[in-house]
Order: sequence, then structure tokens, then C-alpha cells
Amino acid sequence: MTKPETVYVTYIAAKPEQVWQALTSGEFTKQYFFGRRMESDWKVGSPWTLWMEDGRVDCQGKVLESDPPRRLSMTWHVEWMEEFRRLPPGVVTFQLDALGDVVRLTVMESHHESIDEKYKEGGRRGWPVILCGLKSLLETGRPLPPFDMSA
Amino acid sequence: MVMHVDRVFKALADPSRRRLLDWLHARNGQTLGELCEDLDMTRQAVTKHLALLEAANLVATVWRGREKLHYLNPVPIHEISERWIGKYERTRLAALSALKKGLEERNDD
Repeated sequence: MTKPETVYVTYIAAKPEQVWQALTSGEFTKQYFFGRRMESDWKVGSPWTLWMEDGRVDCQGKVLESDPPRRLSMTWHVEWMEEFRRLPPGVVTFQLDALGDVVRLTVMESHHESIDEKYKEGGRRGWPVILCGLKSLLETGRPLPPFDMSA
Repeated sequence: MVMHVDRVFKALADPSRRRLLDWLHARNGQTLGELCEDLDMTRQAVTKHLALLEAANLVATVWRGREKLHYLNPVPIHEISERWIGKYERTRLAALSALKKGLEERNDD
């Protein structure tokens, strides 16, 4: 395993199957992932796409590991900005550990080829927001209210 | 949830633990050995602080072979800020709505 560059953890009062569904279904992701829809059949080797609301592709990649509802790993390529398209893809892995009535969700991001720090800023700002939104959605049925990310 | 927030504040209320987080912020994914080398603290002290930070979910750990790597996990800090940002916004909205109501009533006079 390549050493992850960033690791994010959140504990969610839900079943692993619910967390898995919230991560892999567009109906759920659009409620907490900045309006984006995640789509794939989630089979190893299959492509996945994160769609923006206006139909543009935000990110895409291939499924590397798929073990529902425990582990999902994929290559991750940012498409929506020109300068990101030239970069080698990163790898994002979701690990779900059931601990009684709670799921520990770990998100790990790694890069086989090193990329400039400035390209990692979006992920650093984005993942905590996304994970809080996911937790809020599963625990209260409501996503977090929208707010300005640059603030 | 309340207990969890208490743990986060308790973990952050110590300068050595904040320094550990600063250090992980500068270089994420360090082993205990690396952290002890760079910070002028005993191995015992670093171990104790890391355990408290991990219990508060401010530090996330990943095993890579026999190495335990430590990462700064900003998610609980975001959860806390979210809680109060939401409240301030609601207060501001309530104040605006009261102002609007007051002004409109005066117009009616």
C-alpha cells in the first residue's frame, strides 16, 4: 500500500450498508457532495464518474477494489479544471468499520506520483465538509446548509 | 455528541498537543519514532498525548506493515465550527426578519 498523504475519519451512527449506499449512489451524493452525483456499477475495473449539476464531469476514474459494505478503492482524476487534467490520477479509498451501532468511515488519499502541494488544497478543504455533510445526512436526514467554501 | 465535543476541547486545551497537531499539519503521516525525534518531548509524553488526540478523533492512524502512521484529522474541528456557524446564521436571519417586520409595520401606520 502506498503511504496515504491524507487520512480523514468520521464516526457515523448508521449501518455500514447505509454508509456504503450514501457513498455510492448519486441520489445520496448530490445531497452532501456539493450537488455532485456519483455513478458507477462499482465492479472492479469499471469506470466511475462524479457528475456536476450542469452535466459536466467533475472527477472520474476506475474502481480498484470493491468489497461492499467494507472497502471501496478507486483511481481519482480531476477533470473539471484544465490544469488538473494533466496530472497523474490519485487513489481514494473508503474503509468502513462497524463498531457496534456506529461506523468508522476512513477516507485515505494517496498519490503514486508526487504532485505539487497546490493541487491537494481542494481535497484538504473539501473532504471535511463532505464527511460532515454525509454524517449529518445519515444521522438527521438533512444535509448541512450550504455555505461559502472560500470563507 | 456532547461527550465527544468535550474530548475535542480537552485535547486542544494543551500546548504540547497543539504542537503535535501543528507538526502533523506540516508533515502528515508520521510514526511515533519520527514525532519523538522532531519534538523535544519524551516518548512517554508523546504516546500519552497521541492517545488523547486519537480518542478525540483529532488524530487518525493507519497501519502500513508494522508502522503505525499518524495523521491530523480536521473533521471534528469542522463539525464544531459547523454547529456554531449554523446557530449564528439562524440568529442573524431571525434579527433580519424582526427588522423587516418592524419596518413594514411602521409603513402601515
